[in-house]
Amino acid sequence: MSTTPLKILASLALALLAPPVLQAQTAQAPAGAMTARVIVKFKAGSEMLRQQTADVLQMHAGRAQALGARVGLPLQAGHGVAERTQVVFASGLTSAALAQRLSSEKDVEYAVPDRRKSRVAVPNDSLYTTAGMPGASSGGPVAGQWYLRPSTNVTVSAINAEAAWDVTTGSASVVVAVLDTGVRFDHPDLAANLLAGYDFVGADRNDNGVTLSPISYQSAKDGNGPDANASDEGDGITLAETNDPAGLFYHCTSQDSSGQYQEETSSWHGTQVSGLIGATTNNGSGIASVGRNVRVLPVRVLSKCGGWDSDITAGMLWAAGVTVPGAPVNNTPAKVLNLSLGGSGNCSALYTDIVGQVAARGAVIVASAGNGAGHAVSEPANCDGVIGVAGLRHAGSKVGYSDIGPEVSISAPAGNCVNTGPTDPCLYPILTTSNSGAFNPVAGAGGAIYTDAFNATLGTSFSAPLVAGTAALMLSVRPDLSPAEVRRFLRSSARAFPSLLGVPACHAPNSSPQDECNCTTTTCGAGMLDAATAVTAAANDPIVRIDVTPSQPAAGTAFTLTSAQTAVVAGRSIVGWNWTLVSGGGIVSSLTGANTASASATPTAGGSFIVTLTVTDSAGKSGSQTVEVSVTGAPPSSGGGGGALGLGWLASLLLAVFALWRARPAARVV
Amino acid sequence: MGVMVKLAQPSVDATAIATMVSDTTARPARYVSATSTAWHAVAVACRGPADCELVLQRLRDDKTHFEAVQRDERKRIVSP
Repeated sequence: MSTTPLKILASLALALLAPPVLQAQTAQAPAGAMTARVIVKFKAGSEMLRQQTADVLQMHAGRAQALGARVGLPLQAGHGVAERTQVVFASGLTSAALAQRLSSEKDVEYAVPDRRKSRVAVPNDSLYTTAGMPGASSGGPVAGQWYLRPSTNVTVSAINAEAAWDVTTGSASVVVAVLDTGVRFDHPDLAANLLAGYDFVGADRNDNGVTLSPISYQSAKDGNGPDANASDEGDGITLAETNDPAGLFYHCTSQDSSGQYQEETSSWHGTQVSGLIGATTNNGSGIASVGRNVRVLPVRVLSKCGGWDSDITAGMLWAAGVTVPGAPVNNTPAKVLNLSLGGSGNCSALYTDIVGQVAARGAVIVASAGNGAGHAVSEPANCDGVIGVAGLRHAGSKVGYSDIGPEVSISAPAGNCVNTGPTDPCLYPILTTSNSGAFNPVAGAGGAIYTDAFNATLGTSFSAPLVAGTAALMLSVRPDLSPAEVRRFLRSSARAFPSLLGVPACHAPNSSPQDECNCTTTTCGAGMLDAATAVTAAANDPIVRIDVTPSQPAAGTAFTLTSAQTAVVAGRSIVGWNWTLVSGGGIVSSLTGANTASASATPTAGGSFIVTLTVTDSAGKSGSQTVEVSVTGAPPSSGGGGGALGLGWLASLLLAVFALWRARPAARVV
Repeated sequence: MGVMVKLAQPSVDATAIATMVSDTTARPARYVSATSTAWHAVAVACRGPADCELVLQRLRDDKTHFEAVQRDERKRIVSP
């Protein structure tokens, strides 16, 4: 039996019962020098809702009038938005002021300014939708910049930058540093958004890091040491160079299947990464970038055969605005640092220290996980405080070459070719800016090219800038986000990984390579980057911040958890707090004031407990923060003592001394 | 061998830092560059892996002058 007639009847019934939204009852805004326009939602059971009439216009007018009488302000009714929600107008004050005034009314659930939004058109860059270049007709870059568009059932991992651009197209005051091979300043699709930057590449060193004598600059290729010219001079290595045992670049390239070291042409890597973050967008040519209007600060730290930790870390500090001896002051410090580079090994003391200093400056660090085919995440992506990014295929599974592990924060498209023959086009490459020079740059606009299906850009090097660009958009709408908060929003807004049939689940890295696999949250981070959701959350959601007083709680002494530093969007207020004791750790059994701005308790012993605060603002948006709080003092005893001075008492005393000695931070974000 | 040292007392005196490293390791040392006032790159002459490890250990043992010590290593862009 067909259900169509039933569906029609149901639709008619719903149409009759539904609140008359978007009908022609919209009132005109009152004339006046300053007209406030606010969306107000009444609480369920509110007295205002008793203004029920068959005439919707009259009903809204009555509610507006009643509310106006309450607040002592003539209000005019606008159209209805939902059953308990409508627009109201007033003259002589701003929308924000009216929203604030109405928010304090007891029958009002929330009141927010009714702001104008306009959809940002899909960018008109010629390569965005379809790439008019070789391979397009054979299904290659016909996908265009697939990774920026909304996710589809084919391009599952696409990041939906389009909807993020409806929120913001990026602020020119947000700077993203690209620590890389430098950049081609003469690429016309980049020039407008490039800052001057700096070159930290010094004189040639041998494989052990010792500077050659006499001083030479074969690696940097610019004839000098650190200076203000961050131009990319090319990092290509010829066959002769890689096979010259006496040369500087001996065995500095990858090997082919027979073990022979191969020639490698210049990567123009910094130019490619920069294009993804800040290529000029909606200019009718070339590519669109994630960050659109954000600025790119090129910091040259790599050259032929890579770069040294000393130069990279100096570049990181300088990029964030920290003074580096011998380098000029950076007058345009970055809020985001992109490092599409890496090396094996755990996060060292050097990077731990530098990452901490950069974070203290409020700058976000994004780094690529590495391209070792499922091995451990590279340094510095494996450092605490760094947003490590793994690479995804278009279908959402881990791309074969990407490294993975618990240090990864999030995953993003990295480019993949599908099963093509050696001369077939790559189906899902990352398109970006580059240079046509094989070893040396071809100067001027004539050398400016874009990568394509036959000169494909692939690698986690290009997943990271998609995240960095998204972080820059988030900071464009919410400049006060801390690096940890950017990471939190990116992770909480990420989309779940798909599970593809016939594809094994990713596992923790070991000594064997790991090809394509279905990502898990312990191997590829929280999920697939969703630029739209991340930027929308950054723009709208409360930023929950928890403080502990005293800063170092002690056993037997009351402490207070406060949320005074929590931030909500202008014009809104916090209407709800919910403190939840996730784990009392055997030292805290409950919190008092669980639904107020601050909560308190008295721990019975030393140890730690975990608490979550969820805050709801007057627009109904909520945000959460979970912290683990350490308490000094002896840990809870496991059994009864009777007051005798036995070994148990001595052990407790020693543990108490140990706990005090450790002097751990009082609270850390979980 | 390229070494990154974190000074116990921050300084920008390249000559003094190289001398300090040389005195501690009993090997010739040459200053390379500064990452910050605390972290510096220094090249130390050593003969083979065992000798270089000995140099690193001597620097690590000298807590009076050096808070942290590690090799100055290469990072790469890695093509898949």
